[in-house]
Amino acid sequence: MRPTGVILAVVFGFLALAVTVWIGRYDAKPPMIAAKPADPYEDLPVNENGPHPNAVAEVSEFNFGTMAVGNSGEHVFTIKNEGEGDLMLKKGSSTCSCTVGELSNDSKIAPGESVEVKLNWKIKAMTEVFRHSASVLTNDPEHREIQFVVTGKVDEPLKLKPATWEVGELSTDVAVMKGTIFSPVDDQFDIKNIVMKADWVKIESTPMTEEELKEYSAKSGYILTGTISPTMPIGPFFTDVAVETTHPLGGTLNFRINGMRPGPLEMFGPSFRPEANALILGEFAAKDGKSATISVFARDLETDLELEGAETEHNSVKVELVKDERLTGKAKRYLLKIEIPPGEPQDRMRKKSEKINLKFNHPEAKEVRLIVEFLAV
Amino acid sequence: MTNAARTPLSRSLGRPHRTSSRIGVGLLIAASVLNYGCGSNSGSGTSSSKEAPPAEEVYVRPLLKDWEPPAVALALSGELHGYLEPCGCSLTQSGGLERRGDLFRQLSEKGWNVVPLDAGDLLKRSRRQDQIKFEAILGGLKQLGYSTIGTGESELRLSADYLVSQFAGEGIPLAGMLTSANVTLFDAPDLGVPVPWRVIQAGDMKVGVIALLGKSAADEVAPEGVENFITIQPAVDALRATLPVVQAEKPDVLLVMSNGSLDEAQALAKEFPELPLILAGGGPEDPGDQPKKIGNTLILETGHKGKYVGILGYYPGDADPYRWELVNLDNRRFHGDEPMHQVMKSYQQQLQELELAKSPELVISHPSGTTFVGAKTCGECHAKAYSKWKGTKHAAAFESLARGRKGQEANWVSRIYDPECLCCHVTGWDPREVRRFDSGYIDQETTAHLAGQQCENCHGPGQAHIDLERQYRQDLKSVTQESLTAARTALKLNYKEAELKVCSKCHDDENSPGFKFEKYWDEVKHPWKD
Repeated sequence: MRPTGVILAVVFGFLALAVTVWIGRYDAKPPMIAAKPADPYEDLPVNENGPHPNAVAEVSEFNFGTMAVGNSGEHVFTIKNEGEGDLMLKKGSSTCSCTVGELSNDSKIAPGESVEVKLNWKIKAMTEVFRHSASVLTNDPEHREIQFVVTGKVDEPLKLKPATWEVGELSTDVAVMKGTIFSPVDDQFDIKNIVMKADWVKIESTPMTEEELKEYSAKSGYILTGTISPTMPIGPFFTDVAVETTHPLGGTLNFRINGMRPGPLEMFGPSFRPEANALILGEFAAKDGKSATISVFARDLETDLELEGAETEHNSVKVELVKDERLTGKAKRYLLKIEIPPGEPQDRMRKKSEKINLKFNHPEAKEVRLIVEFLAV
Repeated sequence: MTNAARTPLSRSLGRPHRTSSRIGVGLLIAASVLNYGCGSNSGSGTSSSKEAPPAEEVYVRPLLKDWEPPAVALALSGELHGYLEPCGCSLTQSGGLERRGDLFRQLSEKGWNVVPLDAGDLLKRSRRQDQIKFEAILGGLKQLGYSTIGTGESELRLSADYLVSQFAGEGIPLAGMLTSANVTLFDAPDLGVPVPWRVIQAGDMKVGVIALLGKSAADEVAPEGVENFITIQPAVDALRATLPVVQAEKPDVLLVMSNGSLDEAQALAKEFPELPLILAGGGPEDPGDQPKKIGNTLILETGHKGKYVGILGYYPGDADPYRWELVNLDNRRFHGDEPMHQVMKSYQQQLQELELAKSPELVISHPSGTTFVGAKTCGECHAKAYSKWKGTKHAAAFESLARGRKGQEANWVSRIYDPECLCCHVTGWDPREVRRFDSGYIDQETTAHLAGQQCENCHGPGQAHIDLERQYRQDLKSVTQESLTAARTALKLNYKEAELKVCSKCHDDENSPGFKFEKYWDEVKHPWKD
């Protein structure tokens, strides 16, 4: 063997090993999945002839009071074997966010002895009422499962209420809506800025009075007064608002304002797609026909809405407009009944769909185009 | 084996050199070690482990064990919060309409007299997608035999016009389904939306149902100064007026469904001690097995997200006439249900037709002010990182949405048009808010280069950084080192930030219950400078 060959082999071998180590240094081993026994009690047999253990947990529920989102907790419960046989334990089920730590004694617990069961949990999301549990399975015939429960309340350092502003319907008047931003835990914070993306909304803040603080169980907070002007386009509207605060944990809170600026006529209904003014009736037996009802809402119309005509492209549907006499207020509702009479099969899907020109007596909506798609087989 | 891991080895093997038996031996040893090291991080072992997260052994109680057939069984639920599928998209989670359908099938096989009732609050948001989902859920529930749904906060957020169009009128399939004793739409109680109470005849049994909306929920949907044609009477007043009317019908079982806080439900029990049963909303997501008792009133809770259905058995003549079991809709005892599978399929087809990803309702601008470019563009410079990413599950995230995970392909319904799913399987969305950044993924026709969980979901959109680097290469003096460094730094992501702020946006308890940050970080990290 030539010395250069040996040297080269050693060098390359070393280099290759170095590369291996370098690349493999972040790689993890695959998780091991233990085969799951069909019966969770398979390895916790009850000694039929006795003596039996008696698993006693004097305390099985722990209330932590109030915790903030993101925090973790831990509590130790105790199970004592007050029976005459050996007690065997294993982990049972647990709800999300709650785990049973290692049992302090995985082997048999002799009569008179105790074992600690440690529960860990983490508050990952805002939910006013927190309750999680985990269970321990035993070979005690009277207590095959012992459930340990952790309860409490979850709080946020800074709250917006309501979380979304539903301002409802804006017709011609300016709407004024009030909301709040407050802290249930901190004595003071300031609002640095309120960022509004739409020019039709204006929001001002005023510090909460003592009464208002009490009403919201707040230690500090502001009333947000929003003025929303009906200058946006007709249809559903929304905009995002950011409230920038000096609160060290809350920081900036965002909320959305939702509402609706109605047009002269609004149409809704099952199988109706307002985006396309289309009624999608799907497939049905031609010999049976099919009918559907669309609700038509008319605002600020002094006289009754009337259907003066309905021109169809394929003459495949019958149309009728009936007033819903139960609505007597500012908004009037009419039921637009669309009927495909029993008859021959026809394909009215996509480009072949039925197009109806509805002619109304409404001065601002004299003609409305409605598409009806169906497949009568 | 990941591509990143292969690269150095193939380079060393590909280098021209003189053949030597000793060299060959050295490389073989190295290669076998390398294979061992990398094999532990990839291949089918890891793949299968992630498809089915390592679930702990779960003890599952036998369904309604030792129950005699009751005279009537109420199947109770509420606060679905939009979870048409199991809580999160992981199959190890509980709930979903398919499993609920399977539960009802099993009850039907027992020959029991079952009355299903839902307290409402079926949705999470009030967007267009939620309307489509609402109709899908209600259609499904109707098929399962539900005739009565309570009116919760989320239903009322859909607007009075919409609700009336869905529930009132001849020829409307869901007419009369929505119930509430203290909510009135358009100041027209005769409208029948919601119906104030119901008495359901089930065989020989009569079940009386009164649904109420508590003040805490009312304050959210009908605040002062707002014209939304929704009027909410105080729940106590409404119950005082409605209770004698329902009692006059002599129901065998009388149930009040309370939407609002748990405290409000408990207050009702104290105010009306004659009430035998209250189905209470506002409690924890996973309630206790046993109902609380206030006086003689049982406070029943079924949790959130449709994870549980509570079965209340009624045994007239018994000293204790009620028996309760909170049934966890787990994946051990409950499986598919074809009619509910079709509900999901039809729902996804509607989402496809509506192309909701394009909806302005979902679009937000990215706070950085810059735009998404796609992983391939990142890879033009960051070759090693790109190569590593291509071998990760993140790169295949869109495919899993289109075709399902391993083992699910046969009966999979594609979710590639569902914004609630897209937000964690494509690039350029805010998963927490289910909103699309203005330069984020829309569809395969227009933005296929952003399919999958790519670089920019963790690092931020890269256009500004790329523009600066390109400019710098063209003219070294046109860009300052400070601005170059600032743009690079803005896209860096460290371990701590990833753990606290980034990964958990998608890898949360619901959608990734087996997630362990340290382990997953190891699978995606790419610390090399390239």
